[in-house]
Formats: sequence, C-alpha cells, structure tokens
Amino acid sequence: MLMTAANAMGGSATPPVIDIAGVQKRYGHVVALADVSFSVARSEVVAIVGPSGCGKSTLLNIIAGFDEPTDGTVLVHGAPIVAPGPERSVVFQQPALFPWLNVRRNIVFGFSRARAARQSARVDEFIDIMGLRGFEASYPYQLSGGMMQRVSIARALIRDPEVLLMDEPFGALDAQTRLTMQELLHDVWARYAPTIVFITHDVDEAVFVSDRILVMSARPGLIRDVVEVPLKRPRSYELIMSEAFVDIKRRVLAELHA
Amino acid sequence: MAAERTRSAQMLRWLRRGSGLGGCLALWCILSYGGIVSPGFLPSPSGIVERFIELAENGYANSSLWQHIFDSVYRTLAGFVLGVAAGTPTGLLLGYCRRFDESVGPIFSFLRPIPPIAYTPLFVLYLGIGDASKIVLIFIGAFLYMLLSAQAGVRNVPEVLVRAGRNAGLGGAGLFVRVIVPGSLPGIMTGARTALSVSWALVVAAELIAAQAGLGYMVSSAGVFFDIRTLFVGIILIGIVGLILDRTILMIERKLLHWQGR
Repeated sequence: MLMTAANAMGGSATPPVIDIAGVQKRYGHVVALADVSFSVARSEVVAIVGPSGCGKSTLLNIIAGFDEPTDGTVLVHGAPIVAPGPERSVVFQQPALFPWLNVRRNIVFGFSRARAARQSARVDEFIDIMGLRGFEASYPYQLSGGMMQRVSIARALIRDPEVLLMDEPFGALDAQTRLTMQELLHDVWARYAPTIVFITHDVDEAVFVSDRILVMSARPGLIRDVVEVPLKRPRSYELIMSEAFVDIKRRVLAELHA
Repeated sequence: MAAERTRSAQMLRWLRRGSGLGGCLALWCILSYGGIVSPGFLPSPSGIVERFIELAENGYANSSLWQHIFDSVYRTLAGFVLGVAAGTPTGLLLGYCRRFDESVGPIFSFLRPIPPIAYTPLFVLYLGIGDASKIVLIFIGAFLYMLLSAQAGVRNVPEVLVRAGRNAGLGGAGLFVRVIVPGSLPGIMTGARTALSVSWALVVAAELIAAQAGLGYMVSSAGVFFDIRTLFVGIILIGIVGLILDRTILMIERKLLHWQGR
C-alpha cells in the first residue's frame, strides 16, 4: 500500500531525486506558479508541457537555483537548494556556449585545470557519443545550432549531474535536426540513465522523450494533469506514427485545450 | 574560371578604392599646377614632397622630423597604455560590482563631461611643457573612455552566459575572471580603438597649445610663420600616423577576438 503512494508521486519506491511540494511563485500580484507539487525518480525523464506563460520555465529556474519560490519546498536528494550548481546542470534553449572557448574547453568549463586533465578520456568519450569528433578545436561561431546543443549536452553530462534540466533545448532547431537530437537523447539515456526534467511546448517531443508528462495551464501556473508514457525504450522516430503514441498525444492535447 | 572571375572582381574593387583618392589628387594637381590657386594657399604635390625631403634631411626647429613624429607617438602610446591599464579593470569592477559603482561612480560621472583638452593649461602649469603634461592628459582621456567601454562591456555580456557560468558553480571572483572579463572583451576592444584615436587627437591638440616638439607643435609653429608647405606636410603626417595606429589596434583586435569569426 505504501508502494502505491510512492508510485503516484514518482513512479518508484526509491527516494525521489527531486521533491517539489506546494511551490508558489508570485511577482507582485501576478501568480506565476500556484501550488505545484511533484517528484522525479532516479533515471526518470519527466517532460513539462504547457502554453507560454504557464510558469514551466520559472519552475525550471527554481530547480536550477536561478530563482527562489515565494512559498513551498524544493528538495534535491532531500536537501534544499541554495544556489545554482553543476549537480543540476542546465541545457538552455539559446546557445549558452562561451564563444571564446573551443568545443573541448566548453565541455570542461568550470573544471579546474587538474580536473580537466584527469577527465580527458571522458571528454573524448562524450565527444564521440555526441558526434563532435573533428570539431574539438572549433569555436562556437563555426558550429550549427544542433552542434552547439550537442556541446551543451556533453558539458552538462560530464559533470555527472543528479538531474539534467533541459529548457526547451531543441526549440530553436529545425524539425529534422530536432528529431536527430531527440533520438540522440535516447542514446544518451540508454548509456547513462540520467534523471531529466525536460521543458517543451512541443507535445510530440514531450511524448517521444519522456516517461511522464506534466501538463500545465497558465494564469495561474498549475499542473493540470499527469500523463504516463508507457512506451518502451529504445524509441525511434517510427514510434511517432504508432497508435499508442497518438493515443498519449491525444490525451495531452485534450488537457492542453481543455 | 571562378578564380579568374574573383581576381577581376578584386581588381575592380581596388580600382574603385583608388578612384576616390586618385580623383582628389587629380583635382589638387589641376588647382595647383594650373595656377588656379596660388601656392601660398595650396602648395603643389611636388612642392610638399620637396618640403618633406628637406624636413627629413634638416629637421625642423632644432629637432629632426623623426624626433617630432616619435615625440607625438611616444606621448600618445604612453598615456594610452597607462589609461587602458588603469581604466579597463576599474570599468570592469564598476560594471560587475554594484556597491563599487554606487560609491565611486559619481566621481566619474562628474569628470566624464569635461573635455580632457580643458585640463591642458592646468597640467602645463603643474608639469611643464614637456612629455609629462601630455602623457597625463592622454592618460585621463583614455582612462575615462576605457572606464565607460569596459562598464558597458560588462552590461553586454549575455545573461545566458552568466547563468551558464553560475550553473557551472562559479560565482564572485571566479565568474568575474572566467565569464565577465572575456565576455566584455569585444566592448573593451571597440573602446580601446576609439580611445586610441581620441588619444592621438588629444596629443596633437595639446602640442598645438604648448610644446617644444611633436607634430602638433610643428604644425602650430609653421602656421605662425606662414610656412604653408610645412603645415601641409605636418597635417599629412598626422593623418598617416593616425591611420597606422588605427590599423595596428584593429589587427590586435582581430587577433584577440578571432572567436567572433569576423
């Protein structure tokens, strides 16, 4: 019976990586988030969808430590958040690479010289997995949007984060590249099983990448529904046409438009 | 085929570039050699070349021509380098640290609208008519300019990069050194380029007022003696040196900011 309660919250009996309870965010009289609660289990991919202004980015910024909730608690591995940190690595929508550093140095950004040297083999590993071989010495201006996000993901992963926070990471990419990146994310997950909170406004993307979808509504920002995505991994793009996929998508869309 | 086309396109471009200057030179020749304007007002190109050779051989007012050029350049670079060295870190701190800006910012807000050239008589009084008064003057001009550009440079560092830096666990001094400083470099370099041309203008102006050597002094003194040909040589040299200074700093900027991909 206790298992059931755990399942409702995080889909697992092990303690959640992220535990959010009664979080509110107000800017003066504007209520950006009104009483948001959910938890994320280890290695779970949770997508958050909603219209612009539903507070999904605010929520991510609170978990990242860029913003503080007006009320409520946010715990990561049971500890409250005090500041931004590499254990909650963010992949931003806009290219957030440092233009004066080449790909390799961007990946190890924030590491001490000694740590960067020690991790040199892992840097190579991520360069290979993210398809960046041959671009190690390139500067961001020489990369396409998709390549830049590959570097951003490599940079986030090499820090061994407790959770990977992705804020519409593929939102600025063309449809073709976006699909490639979504598949790449599955490869990454198959290898490292990171815990991911994935913000998007693209319902297809949410269903394709996640285990669970939080559907939010705007004014005030609320979680309207939680949709489970019981599609087995690994997933490839053919899945998008399957009946099971379309069923889940229909449910999410119905909630968004309700 | 393609290579040929680009080569001919390049030649056309050079032709266009040359045509403006060439046109001016042609007009000048017509006006002076055609006797339309008297050489007392507008010396002929050959007259200026002759005078330049004379000056190069015999010098002007007890100093060689090279000494005059060297003095002006030395004063400019000394004041400029000191101004950049002091103004850039101060401006970066002003942009990064609000409390610092609140406490010392008003001093600079008061000083900024004063054209540095207005200090010339004061510094001449304090430091004499030699190098020191000019160097200090240029230092102040470059310092205030770099202050402004570095501060603006900090403001122009994209917010997302600051966030990416904080997300990597950086804050305070670490964030300043690894994100703010390199991120401000484009603004700093644009500022430095302008500050250098302002410094060059300042040195000439200061030498016009009070000096015993330098290109500004040469021009001013030639004016007093109606030595129109020396005047022209001086003005042209001021232009050429200014151009060389600007090209040099542009080259440094390109090198430092290669990552902008321009």
